[in-house]
Amino acid sequence: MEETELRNRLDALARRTAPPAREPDDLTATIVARHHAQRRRQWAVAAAIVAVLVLVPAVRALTTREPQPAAPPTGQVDVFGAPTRGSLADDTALIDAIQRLPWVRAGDPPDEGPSMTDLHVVWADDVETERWALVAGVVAPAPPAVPADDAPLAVAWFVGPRGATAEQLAMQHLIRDVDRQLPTALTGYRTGDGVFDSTTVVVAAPEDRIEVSVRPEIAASGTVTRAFVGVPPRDGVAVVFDTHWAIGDPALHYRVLRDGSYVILRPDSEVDSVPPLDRDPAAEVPVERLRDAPSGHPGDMAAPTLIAGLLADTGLAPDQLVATVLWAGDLPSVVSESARATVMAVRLPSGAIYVGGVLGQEGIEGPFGVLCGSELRAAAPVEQLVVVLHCSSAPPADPPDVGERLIVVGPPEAITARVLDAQGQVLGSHPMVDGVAVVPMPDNLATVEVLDPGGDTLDARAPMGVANLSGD
Amino acid sequence: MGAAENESFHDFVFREQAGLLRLAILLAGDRGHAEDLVQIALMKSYRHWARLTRSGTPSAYVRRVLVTSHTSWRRRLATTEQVMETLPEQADPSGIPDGEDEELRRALRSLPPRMRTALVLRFYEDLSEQRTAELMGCSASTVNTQTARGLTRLRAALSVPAPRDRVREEQ
Repeated sequence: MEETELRNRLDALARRTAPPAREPDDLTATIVARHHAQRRRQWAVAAAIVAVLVLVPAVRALTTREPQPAAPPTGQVDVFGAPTRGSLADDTALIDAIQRLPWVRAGDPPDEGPSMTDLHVVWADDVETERWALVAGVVAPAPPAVPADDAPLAVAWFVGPRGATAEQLAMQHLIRDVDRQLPTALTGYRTGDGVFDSTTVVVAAPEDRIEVSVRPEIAASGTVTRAFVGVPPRDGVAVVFDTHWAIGDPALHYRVLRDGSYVILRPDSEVDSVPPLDRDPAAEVPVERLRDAPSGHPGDMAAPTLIAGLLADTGLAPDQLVATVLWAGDLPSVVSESARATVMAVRLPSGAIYVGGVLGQEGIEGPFGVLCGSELRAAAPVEQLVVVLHCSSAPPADPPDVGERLIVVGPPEAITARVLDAQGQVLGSHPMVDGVAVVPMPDNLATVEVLDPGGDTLDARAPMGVANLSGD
Repeated sequence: MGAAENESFHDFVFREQAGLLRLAILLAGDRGHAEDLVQIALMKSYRHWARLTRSGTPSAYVRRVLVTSHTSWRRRLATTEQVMETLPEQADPSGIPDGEDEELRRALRSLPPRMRTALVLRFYEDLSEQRTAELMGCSASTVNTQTARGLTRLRAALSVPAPRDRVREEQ
């Protein structure tokens, strides 16, 4: 293929497959809202901390209502500035060698890394059985239009066996644009004996107080909170060890206290290169069924990923969960012959219930799953739950497709699903068979009422969004 | 940010969004990731918008952020998003591309991200080696190597009928 032909084909591919552009007003509003939300999450609570009576209500406010507008960080703290910290800081030969390491992943040629300037080892230490180092630098050349002194600072984490030489350290994670004033952290996983072992290293400014919450706490009411405990830092660096039955975004969150303000963050992690366990914890969660199981389908493999995600997000063990398949059945699909929808309720130790629906189907690149929605509910009998899900076998940006369905699951006595718009106008009523209705997704749907044979409303629900298990 | 900068940002979104989405779909390979990439690039650029507009056109900066966000893709999701672990996030029927499009899309996705990025920037964006290197944060010689290797692999992939099943994206 000649280069001209490649140019033409790339152009055609881009034009024909790019997502449609969103309304500029809408996209701009989304960007601005996400920007402000991010800032609010980062600098969430500015509170006088000398008085416990003031601090406690402030922390409670953080967990129970919208965070207050960001309090700007006071002073110009540079988390990644000199001198090098950690027990290896005085080993100048090692530190020099670490500083010269190429920023490439194991197995990649050394010349494939970015060109760096102003390299500096921020921290290097032996952590249990491993040697860790954090290196900062500026990717050269600096981006156009940005003053050199404000060029994005990049950091790279290197990890190797305890006592490793610089050459034995491998780059685990690269962040190309860090905020110099904010701490950074990495959770590294190792495949252990039936569980994943993790090490989380938080590098903050030397004067920062570091607190961690290893996992969210989900109450019987379905509310999610976090309790943070102080971790004694050395020179502004804290290390936390943990074990997990599934891995994804770290369940651990951390916060640092600086000048009377908390900044709450999540560590980065790399999970793709972690070998799997020799057991499947998601398969160890007992699964009951409320209704008969349909015949096997390639999309059945999506349901266990719902449980695996829950294990990763909550940090809970498989024997702490009990799952119930409320309903499973097939929907039409634009991708494959059919898609398997599974609606599941998982009881958590507190009694709260995680309800979720997932669509599994066979694509040309192998089986894949799409989350239809999830929610946390207060403790209740699972057979009485009313679940409303909008499942689509195509990305939301596409026009409505033949696979787009409304799934309503209720108690066995439910006989009617009444669909309402935002003004409460009835858009339609659908019979429920064995407490289930699956119908094409109506336009303008806001709520679904589930009625018993007497016409009484058992429950009314909007289609599920995505459960927030983070506790932020 | 002031009203003037907000208006300028809105105008930029109006002018450049379609082009950014086209670049992103070639880099990311599916619509979901492409939309995410564009949003991430715009959000990161919004932070510096006042300075970027004072210093000239922000287009190059936004594209650089988009490219670096793609090559350092970390699968870190916003609080309200959730991924089904071990599975591709979403199907991409994407208007059902024709056979040639699909063949090229599959061949591109089989390349390592940096190799794919070099090819897309050189042959879709028509950038020089030096300019591509600036966007990717590497040397021009690395771009040259990646481009040559990428072309060889792409030609090989396009000359052999690819299997229809279970082509997994290289991480």
